[in-house]
Formats: sequence, C-alpha cells, structure tokens
Amino acid sequence: MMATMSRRGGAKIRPPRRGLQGADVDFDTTWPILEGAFKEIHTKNASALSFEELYRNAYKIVLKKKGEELYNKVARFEEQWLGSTVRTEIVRTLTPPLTLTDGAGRTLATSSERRTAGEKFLKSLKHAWEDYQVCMGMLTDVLMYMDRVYCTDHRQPSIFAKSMGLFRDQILRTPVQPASTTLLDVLTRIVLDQIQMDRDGEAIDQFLIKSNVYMLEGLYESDLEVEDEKLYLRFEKVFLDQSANFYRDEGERMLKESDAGSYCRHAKKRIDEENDRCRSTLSESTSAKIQAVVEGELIRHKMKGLIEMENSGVAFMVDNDKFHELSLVFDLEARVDPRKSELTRAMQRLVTEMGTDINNAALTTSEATPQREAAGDDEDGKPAEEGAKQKLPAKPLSQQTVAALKWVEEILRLKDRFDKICTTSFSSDQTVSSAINRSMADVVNTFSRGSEYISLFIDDNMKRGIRDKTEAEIDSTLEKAIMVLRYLSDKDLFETYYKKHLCKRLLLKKSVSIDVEKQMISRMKIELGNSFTLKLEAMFKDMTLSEELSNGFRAHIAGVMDGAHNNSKPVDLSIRVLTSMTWPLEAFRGASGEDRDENSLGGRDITLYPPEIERLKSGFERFYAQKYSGRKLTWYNNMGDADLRARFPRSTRIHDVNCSTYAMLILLLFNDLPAGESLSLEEIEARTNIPRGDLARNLQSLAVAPKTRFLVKEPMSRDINSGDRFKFNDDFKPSFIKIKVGVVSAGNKVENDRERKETEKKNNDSRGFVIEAAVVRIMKQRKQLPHAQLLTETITQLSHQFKPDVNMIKKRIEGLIEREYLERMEDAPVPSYKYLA
Amino acid sequence: MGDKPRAELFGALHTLYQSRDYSDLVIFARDSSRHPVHRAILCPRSHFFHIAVKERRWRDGTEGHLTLAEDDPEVVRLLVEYFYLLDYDPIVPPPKDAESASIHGSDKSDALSVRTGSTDAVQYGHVYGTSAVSAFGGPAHREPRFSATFNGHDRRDSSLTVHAIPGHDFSPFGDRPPIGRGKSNRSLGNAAPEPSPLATAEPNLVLHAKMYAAGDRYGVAGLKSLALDKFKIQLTRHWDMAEFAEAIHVVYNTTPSSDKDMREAVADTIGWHGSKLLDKAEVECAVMEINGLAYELLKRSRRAEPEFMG
Repeated sequence: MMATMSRRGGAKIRPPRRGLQGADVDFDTTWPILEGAFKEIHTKNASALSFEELYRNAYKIVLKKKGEELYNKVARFEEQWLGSTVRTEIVRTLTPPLTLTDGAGRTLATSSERRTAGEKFLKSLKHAWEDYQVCMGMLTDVLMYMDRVYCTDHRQPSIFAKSMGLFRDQILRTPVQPASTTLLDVLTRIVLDQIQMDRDGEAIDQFLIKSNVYMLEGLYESDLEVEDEKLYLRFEKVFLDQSANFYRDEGERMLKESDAGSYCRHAKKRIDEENDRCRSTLSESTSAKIQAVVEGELIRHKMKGLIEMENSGVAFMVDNDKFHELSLVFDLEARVDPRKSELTRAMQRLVTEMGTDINNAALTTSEATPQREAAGDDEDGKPAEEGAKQKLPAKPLSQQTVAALKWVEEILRLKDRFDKICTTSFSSDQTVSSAINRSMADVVNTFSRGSEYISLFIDDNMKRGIRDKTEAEIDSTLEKAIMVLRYLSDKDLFETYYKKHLCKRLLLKKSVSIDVEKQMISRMKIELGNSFTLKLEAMFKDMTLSEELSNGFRAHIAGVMDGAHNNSKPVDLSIRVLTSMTWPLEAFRGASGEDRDENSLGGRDITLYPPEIERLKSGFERFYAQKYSGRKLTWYNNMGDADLRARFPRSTRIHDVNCSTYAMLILLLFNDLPAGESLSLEEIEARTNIPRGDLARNLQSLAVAPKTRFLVKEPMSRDINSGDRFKFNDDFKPSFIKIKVGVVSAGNKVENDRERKETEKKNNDSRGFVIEAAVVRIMKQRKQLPHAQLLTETITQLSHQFKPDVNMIKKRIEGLIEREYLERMEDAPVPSYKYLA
Repeated sequence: MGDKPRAELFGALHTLYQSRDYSDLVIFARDSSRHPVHRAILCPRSHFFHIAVKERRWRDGTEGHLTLAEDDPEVVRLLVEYFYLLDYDPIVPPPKDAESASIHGSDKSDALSVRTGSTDAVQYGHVYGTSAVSAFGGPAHREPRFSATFNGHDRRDSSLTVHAIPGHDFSPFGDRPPIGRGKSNRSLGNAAPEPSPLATAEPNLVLHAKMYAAGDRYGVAGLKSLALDKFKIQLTRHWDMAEFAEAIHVVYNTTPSSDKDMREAVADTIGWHGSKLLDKAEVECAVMEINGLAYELLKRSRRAEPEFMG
C-alpha cells in the first residue's frame, strides 16, 4: 500500500519508450557525433563545430525521450575525461618536495623549493579548473534543451552542476595513490604552506591561490549545491585552526621577547595583513573569521600579559607618556572587548597606585614633625603670615600647609595626566575615562585629610595664590579646586573646614579679593547645591551688615562728640557682628588652648578695659541694643586688632602700630607707668584679665620678637614665665613708620592631630543627626521597610552630602529603636522596621 | 500621439525586414533559401541564437551563417518574419508546379516581399495591433529577456492577433472562457466553441504546430504563444479537416511531453467533437499510436467523477 502511494506521488508515470512515430532517432549514431564534439571541446578545438548541428542532435535525442540516456552518457564521458586525462595531468605536477612529508605534515624541502613546486601544482589545478569551467559552459550550451526539458522534469541537477560534482569527486576527492591523501588535502596543505610563507615575509603568487580558492568556492560538498556546504568552508576551517595555532605561538613568543609597544604594532599589522590576505589571496568571506581568530589569539588571550609586561607594559607607557602606544593598546582591546576591561583595570590600578603615593607622601610630610607643632606656636613671636611667606620650610606647620597644597596640586596633576591619556590615546572613551574618574575619587576619598587639604588649597590661593594673577588664571585655579572637590564624597566635612578657613580669612581680612571669594561660593553653589553654600553666604552677609553697623556707629559717635565734651579724642571702632550659629568661632579657640573653653562659652566680658575703651564698648552695646533688641553680644577680643599711635624715645616721629586688642590693652598699661618701673606677669594678668595663654603670646610678641620689642623682659629669655617682669623699652628704635605686631597662630594651617580628631568627632556627631533625620524621614513616609532597603535609601539620600558609614547608620537605627521611633517587626520574613508615630 | 514613436520603431523593423540592410548573420533553410538577419534582432529573444553566435565560441557565430536543417523552409521563413513583424502570416501554399518552379530561394523571397509589400497597410495594422498597444498602455509583447520567459508558458500575453480584437471579453473560442492548464473546469457537458471569425480559410494546423515547435526549439516564448493561439483559432473552424490528424502527430512529436498547451488544445478539440472525430480513420490511428493522447482523452472522459490525479 505504502509502496504504491509513494510511487504515485513521486515519480511520474512514464509512458512507454516505444510507440512514437518516428522514434527512429538513432541514439547510437547521434551520440558519437556529440561525443566527438565534446572531445574537441575539451581539447580546445571547438571553433570548427557547428552549434546548430550539435544542438539539433541533442535536441532530437531529448525530444525522443532519450534525455536520461543522454544525461548519463555525458556524465560518464565527463567522469572518464576527468578521471583519466585531467587528473593525470595534475598528479604529474606533484613533485617530490610536495610528497615528502615529515610526521607533522610539513615538507622537508626548503621553503623556496616547496614554493616553486607548490605553485606548479596550483597552476595546473587552476588551469584544469578554469578550462573545465569553459568547456562545461559550452557543453551546457549544446545540452541546453536537455537541461531545460529533461533535468527540469526529472529534478536532476543541471549538467553543469553535475559535472562540477564530478570534478570535485574525480579530481579533488580521489586519493593521489590508493589509500593516500586526496588532492584536496594536498591543495589545502600547499595553500596553507604558502600562506605561512607569506606570513614569514616571502613573496607568493597570491592570485594563483585566489584562483584555487575560487574553485573551492564554486564547489559544494554534494550535488545539491547547498550554499553553506561549499568546499571552501572545509578549507577555511583548517586554515583558521592553523592560523590560531600560529598566532597563539607567535603571541606567546612576542610576549616573551618583545616590548608591549612593538607587540601592539605587530598585532595591528597582523590583523591588517590577514584582512588584506583575505582580499588578495583567499576569500572576503573569511575576513571576519580570521580577524576573530587573530584577535582572539593575539589580543584577547594576551591582553593581560601585554598590559602587565614589565618595563614596557601599560604602566611603562603611562610613566613615559607613550600616548601613541597607549592608543595602540586601546585600539587592540577595543577590537575584542567593547568595555576594554583589561585596560580599564590596569589604568585604575595605576591611578590608585599613583594616587596612593601622593596620599602617602602628604601623610609622611605631615607626620614627620608631629611633635614640633606645639613648639611652632612658641616660635619667637614671628608674624605667622610673614613666616608663611618667607620661611616656609623652616616651620613645621607651614610645611604641613605646603604638603596640603602639594597634595591638591599633585592630585590635579594626576587627573590632568590621565585626562590627557584619555583624550589623546583612548579617544575620550566613556567607559575608560569614567572608570579612571572613579579611581580618582577613591584616591581622594581614601585620603583622610582630603576635605581639609582642599579647603586649605583654596585658602592659600585666596590669601596669596591669586595675587597678581589674571582673571583667566584665577578662573582656572578655582576650577581646579572644584575639580578635586567633585571627587570628594565627604562634602559635609569639607564644608566644616571651608567655613573655618573662610571665617579666618574674612575676619582677619586675609582675602586678596572678596569678589573671587564670592565667585568661589557661586561655583560651589553650582557644584554642590544651594544648601551647601547657604551658611557661607550668610557669613558674607554678616560682613556687609557689620560694615554698615560700624559706619552707623561712627556717625553716631561723631554726633555725640559734637554735642558733648570735645577734649578726648574719638576712638574709632570697627566691629564685626557675627551670627553665632553661622560662624565656626571655635576655630579661634584652638590656638588659645582648651583651658578657655568655658570662658569662651560664658562670654568675654571678664576682660578689663581702660576707661576710654570701656566707654566705647558700652557705647556700641547701647547703640546695637537700640537697633536690634533682644540680642546678646559676646566680645571676642582675641580676634580683634587695634591701631595705635606711638612715640618712642629714640625716634622723633609718631609711629603707627598695629597690634592685637590684647597687645593694645597691655601697652596701654605702660602709658601710665612712671619711667623705669616695671610690671610683673601676674600684675598684668590681674589688671587686664587676659587669659594666660593669650597673654603669654602677646607678651612674647611685645617683649621677645626683636622687631617689635616695645617692652623689656626681666629675665631676658624666650619663654614667658610667672614672676617675669616687664618695663617699657626706652632703647627701642623702630626702623619703619608703620609697625605691625604679629601674633602667633593667626593663619589657617593644617590642624594638628587633636584638632583633626575633634573636627572629625564633631563631624561624625553632626552626621549622626543627619542620618537619624534621614532615617526618620524615610520611615515616616514608608511606615514599614526591610533593613536592607532602609540602608540603601538612606545612603542614596545622603550621598550628595557624604558617604555614610553603614555601621553608623546601624547604630543610629538602634538608637532610634531605643528611643521608640522605630520598632523591629518580629513576623517579617526579612529583618524589617516599623515606624512608630 | 504616443503611438507615433512606437509606430516609428515598428515601421523601422518592418523596413529592416524587407531590406535586410546591415544584416550580420545569414540563416539558411535546408532548401538553401537564404535569410540575412540581424543578430541584434534575434539574439535577445532567442536563447538558441544567443548562444550560437556569442563570443565567437562556435563556428556558426564566427562564420556568420547557420542552417536550420530541422525545419521546413517555410517555417524558417516565418520564424524570421516573426522576429521582425511580431507575427507571421502563412501564405497560401503555391500550387505544386509553382513551388517546383521557384525553388531558387532568393527569387522566392523577393517575390514574397513584393507580395507582403502590397498588403502593407492591412498587415501593418494587423501585425502590430496598435489597438492592443493602446489597450495595455505599452507594447503588447513585454518579454524583455528571453531567459525570463525561456521556459514560460505565459498565456496572458499571448498573441497580438488575439489582443487586436476589440473587447477583452471576446474569446477566439466563442463564449467559452479561455482554456487554462491544470485544474480548469472543463466539463464534458461544455459545448464546443463556435468557429472563430478570425480563422482563415486555410487550416494551416500543421504549420502552426511546426511554428510552435520551432518556438520551443529555439527558445522563443512569444512565438510559442502566438502559434498556440493561431492553432486554437484555426481548430475552431478546421477541426474537421483531414489535416488535423497530421497536426496531432506533429504536436506530439515535436514538443516534450511536459509541454502541455498544444496537447490540451488537441485533446479538448477531440473531446468536443469526439463523436465525429473518433470515427475518422486517421484520428483513430493517431489516438491508437499516441499514448499520451489516449491518456488525455481518458482523463476527459472521467471528468464527471471527482478529480483523482493531482
């Protein structure tokens, strides 16, 4: 049943051969005519043949239903022709250098012998193929009617396709000798051998190989001629395998013997070569595949080794500004990895290494002389500001400041350096440059003094760095500061430092330009947001208001003076009224020692003033109380300064002396003292109530520092001790009209360890509150939240201020639970909290 | 007005056919009649001629002449006529004596051109079918490459002769729908078509069958469909002629069995007129001898039953 069905569906029911009128076409007489003609065609004697005659004969055979017979006859004819004549011809070109092979399949002859012999073989195969193509084209012409009628109706491959299959079987697939390799194997081996010669720099006949590749591309594994079953693919696979081996070895050898730069150049060259080879020698369809092989062997598997090559790898290139070679590395890796992960990793490692060096160098500088910091304070009354300018290296504290400045500069230089590499060598690749930036941020943030140093960098520039600079230069300096600031995650800590430094700059009038200060603030506003600069701006506002207050008070005094007694000279008062929450006034306590903490909190009014000063002070307090009721003024004398007009016995002129408020109080004591009399330290202390530390330092300035030695100390020594006596220095001979009495510790310096710890502790405390606030805010909104999610949200909320410590958050959550803001949810599958309203 | 350029081209072809100026190939018939032709006219439309002269590969091309030994001289002449005039118009075979008298080919062809020249105006309109051209908005024969239609049996684009008739509904077979291949609904009960008004007095059935064969042999698809249409038109009127039996043999012996169109025309006609035709000795002989024909007729006799064969 099945058999009948299938027969009916498949083959057509054929009419009997016999039975046609005129079926007298004599195949046996017609065929020899065709066969003879085919022979002529194959031996290139076709020009004498009449197409019409041959076509007519083939046509008649087909018309008389002898198509199948004709088809088979032609096939058999071609088979014999190929198997005998053509193959013999080709096999004859297989000369000894090609047939003698060692175990590995390589011939033993020299390459030039092999090449010559190979070319002979390739040439003969090429000619055989091309001739055969032409001949079969002609046969196809003659047998056109057979193709059209017989092959179409009987689903046979065209005679051309059939004969190509015969060529494949008879020429390429038949063993050269029984049980030996086929000509296809030989061909493959020879082509690969020649390609290897080409790779080794020997000139080969590319076109000859290309012709043979054409042949392989024109032949298929089966007569069905399936597109992805070309014989060429078989060759291609061997070619790719062999290439992979070759490049694997070559890559390993080069890694050992060569430097990274040459390696890159070589790899690039090899890839281009293989591309060219596909175009000139093989097939374009292989381009992508061989490229993948070379990239895999020379790049992907070697990238790590290449990058880490000693004395020539990426580290070397960065160290020596080998931008071009870096770009080669980049180009290579970009070929195999769009994320360039190896290179990125290497660059990050370098940034981290170099950054860590910078950090360590800064720490070493600052920690080399930690003990002498305190001693620095006692240095003989030398004005700190001048000292900072002139004798930087000599003073440990200043040295620290220099370390801070250096750190920022170095960080910026590091950034510039890698930025340049990114733009020059990595074509500003987003992935790499952002990875480098992340590493930069890590470097900045692992450095514990980052916040302080950045602020100090700005401080120094505000005080002197930007002097004599053009606007553009100032701009770029500010931009630099902002750039480093961008990396910083502990923005809150930075804010603390910046406030402190800004405070001193403003109060001590150390800023070169208030305009530039304001520019800086607005830059930070853009960069860090409004809330960040709010307090800083308030400080500027206080300064402006104070200016107005001072002027107002001055006018007020003048009015009073006009009306009242004119005998006493007016004392000019310039005042700064600072909002206590805005200004980091504790910054001024550090230098005076912690023994004054209580006093500073309790107010400064214990200081005893001479009457005219006292009058002025209370006058202002009244004036202020009129303007702003309910406000309490606290006087910070340790931050003030005074201008005095002084006469010295050995000078005929009146000198302008600028000194601290305390120094003024001390000096005024000596105004009323009869000549030759002296005051002891204790007496001065009792009559002024100046804190001992401040007193000692001011006395140092007045009695020890040679340029401003208005007083003579008894006994003569550097340190101020109890029992020391002071009297007016009659021998003082001022060299300038204007004399400035410096007081130690006015400048902004790097904090000492104790100060830093304090700052950090304070900062941590305030962070604690910020964290608690954030947690409560989140929980109030969410009511219930798993632990992990709460952590994440908190961190996200706070990230623009600082990078919260997870343990700190946990501790704060604990605290909130204790204080019954939150409670743990017992029944939750994951640890969760619930908000308690 | 769009007709003018077209008329110019067709007119030029016509002139070329008559003068044979610039001819670069000579076709001989087996009676040595000589037909100088133009490769540019023939080769693009016939795979056979294309190959014969291409690239100077064969002697035919290099020597510039070939002989079509397989065909009747008249078929060769009409083949050439077709290439130039897009139609062929069989002349009434001259009387026996006249044929023997004008055996020298060149004289005959001269005589022919004089004759065709005399009927120029009529033939012009008939052959080029300007009405068809305008009806279809372009040349009726739109077969740009022989290769594309080499194996094709496009019936729609059949002959100008058919298209030239006003009114598309008109069928040369009367009011029956045109016969299609394969599963068309040919029922036995269908009446035979009325004799077509286009049919000429001379049957010419054998001639058209031979022209069809020539079209097949030389790969000229347009000629095949033209001959097929002419054959069918003639059959509507001349099925009764003795020539029909001979035409049957020609049809079955000059085309491969896969070529169905002519065979169906024959079988249809026998089917319609079976009662009369099968009684004729020569038809009976043909049916007896030609298996394919017998099978076709058997299929038609079973038409009433459900289709069995795919």
